[in-house]
Amino acid sequence: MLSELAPRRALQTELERLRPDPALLQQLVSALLVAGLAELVLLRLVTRVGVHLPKSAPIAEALGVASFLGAFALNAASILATALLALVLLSVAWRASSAWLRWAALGFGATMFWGLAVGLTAKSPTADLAFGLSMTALLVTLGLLALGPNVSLRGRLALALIVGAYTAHQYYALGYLVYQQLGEQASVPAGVVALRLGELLVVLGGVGAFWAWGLERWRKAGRAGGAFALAPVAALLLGSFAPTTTTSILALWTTGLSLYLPLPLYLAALGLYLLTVASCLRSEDAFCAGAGLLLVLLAGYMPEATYYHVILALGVALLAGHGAARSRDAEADGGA
Amino acid sequence: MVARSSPKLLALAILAVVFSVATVLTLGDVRLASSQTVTLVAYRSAQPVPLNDPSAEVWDQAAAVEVPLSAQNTTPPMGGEERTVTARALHDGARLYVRLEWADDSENDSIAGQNDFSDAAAVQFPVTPGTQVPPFCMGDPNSPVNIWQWKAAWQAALASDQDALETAYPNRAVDLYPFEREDVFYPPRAAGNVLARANRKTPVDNLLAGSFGTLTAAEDQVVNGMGAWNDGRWRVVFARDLTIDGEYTQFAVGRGTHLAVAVWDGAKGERDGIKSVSQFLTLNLSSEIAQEAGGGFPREAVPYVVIGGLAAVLAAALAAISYLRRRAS
Repeated sequence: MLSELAPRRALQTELERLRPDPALLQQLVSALLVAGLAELVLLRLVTRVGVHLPKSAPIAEALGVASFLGAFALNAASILATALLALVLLSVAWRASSAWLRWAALGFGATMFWGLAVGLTAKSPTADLAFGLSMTALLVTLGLLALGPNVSLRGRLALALIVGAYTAHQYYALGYLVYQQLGEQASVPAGVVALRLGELLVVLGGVGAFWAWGLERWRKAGRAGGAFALAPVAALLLGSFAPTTTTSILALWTTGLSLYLPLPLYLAALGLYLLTVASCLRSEDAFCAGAGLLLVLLAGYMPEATYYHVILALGVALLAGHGAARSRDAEADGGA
Repeated sequence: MVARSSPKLLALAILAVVFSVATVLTLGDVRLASSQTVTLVAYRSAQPVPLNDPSAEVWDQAAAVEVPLSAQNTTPPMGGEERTVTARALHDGARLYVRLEWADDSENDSIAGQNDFSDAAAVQFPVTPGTQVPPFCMGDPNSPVNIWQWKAAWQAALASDQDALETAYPNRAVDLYPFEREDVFYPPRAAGNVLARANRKTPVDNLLAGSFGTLTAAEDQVVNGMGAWNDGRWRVVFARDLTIDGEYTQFAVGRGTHLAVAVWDGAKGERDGIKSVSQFLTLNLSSEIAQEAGGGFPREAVPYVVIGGLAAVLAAALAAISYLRRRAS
């Protein structure tokens, strides 16, 4: 018996060594949030909206600089997010109470990193499929790990909505990759229905996140946090009244939402979500939840590139209480 | 544990390395992310693709992608609605064929009356290939797009010997209309309005745009096509040589580009910017030969495989919940 336990203990010791320092993790996640926000603003927003501006020399130069800085932010965020996800997955493996969930997280993680590496160096549908499927399975696994006592019922519901929305999108996107590999020419059954359902789950997820992490601490957001939450909502609202409306441009190019539901629903969900992010980041006990929610927002609903999938997985891991910001038995963010 | 002693210093060191690598990558014009968008694969067709039959069996060999469309609400006039278009593509080594299929309750192919509008469809490609996809709302000045627009009314006019006005108003009478053949007496035509052209040889216009409001008819009208309305569905085929002279989208086998689609329902008064639009998806021209439907994998089994997979995931989730509950109790 003792001889059987020895290798397991040795493995746990090794994983424990690899567990990132909470303070280090927090600093690196903070840097990632800054880089991610810079990428969103400079690459996805300014350069895309900017193409509709008159191209005088100073504006063209400013857009060129914004594009370069946005690309730099994307590269920095991509490297950081990938490294942090690897560290957090090791932390998940250490904390998992179930052996098969631990090995599932490690197995899916390894496959995902293989698909990511191959996809970055060569265009390969097989690698894309491996990356997409393992990433989806990894997110479901991370969501399942949140079913433990560390995350409250509200937190689990919000996580289920986030993971559900991602899975619905992946069903549409990966369905065609699977069909391609199978040589099947038909459309994926109910693919567009899944896509619309996913967008509905995104809206519900915004409200769910507020219920789980924001309801009890929204006052902590303060004026600055309130402004952070209201500014994008006001921009979208004003955009919808503008002669050349920019609402859909802002929504589609930043988050991939098609706005097929009534606009007030999106505005309410976004406002509550951003208020939750601000209040969590300003609370000492909920940094991981705030960071996780912000990463999920940065990833958007239709992740068009591998980087967005990676930050989404990292965000879900942080929301599921795998930020290693506390001891193993401590209450996770959104916990009871 | 990893560096519990000096996390701040270690964080700075890590960030310095990350930023250095990111700087090198950015200067080298490398973006550390690969595309994960849905891909429409155009396989090589071993059989000829008939242009006069959009329902031809050869299309059963083409891979289909359902493309979600939403109302165009970027620039006035806004409108359209949620629709789903099934896109397919094939090539024969010399020409690219794209077929769009969508539900439409009525066939609207006349624009003779003031309130008559035509059903229509369009596909859009970036002129310049590359990783940077232009804005889907008709590109931008730095990333123009090549648009192929088909209209049922143009097709009907080409197919009919009669003037559309004569068909719509058979008892009309005109006393005198001098200079009938001179463009200067047709202001839209004289002004170069792409919709008012009278010398159409094909029901598909080859257009260029660099942002909305800049749509221009290309000098070379080199895109052909045909649509057919049957049982409440339009099927429209577009066809063009893979490579042509001029500043248009060039295609090559083994290379990818992007494609977006738009659809107009004339019965609902849709025209101009009142349309349903999609975002860009990836289009890849494969050298593989298009297979018979199913490609050896039984088509009828596919939904069962998908549903079975979902059921397996659900069962695993339920088992995990049950296991974790037992452990917690």
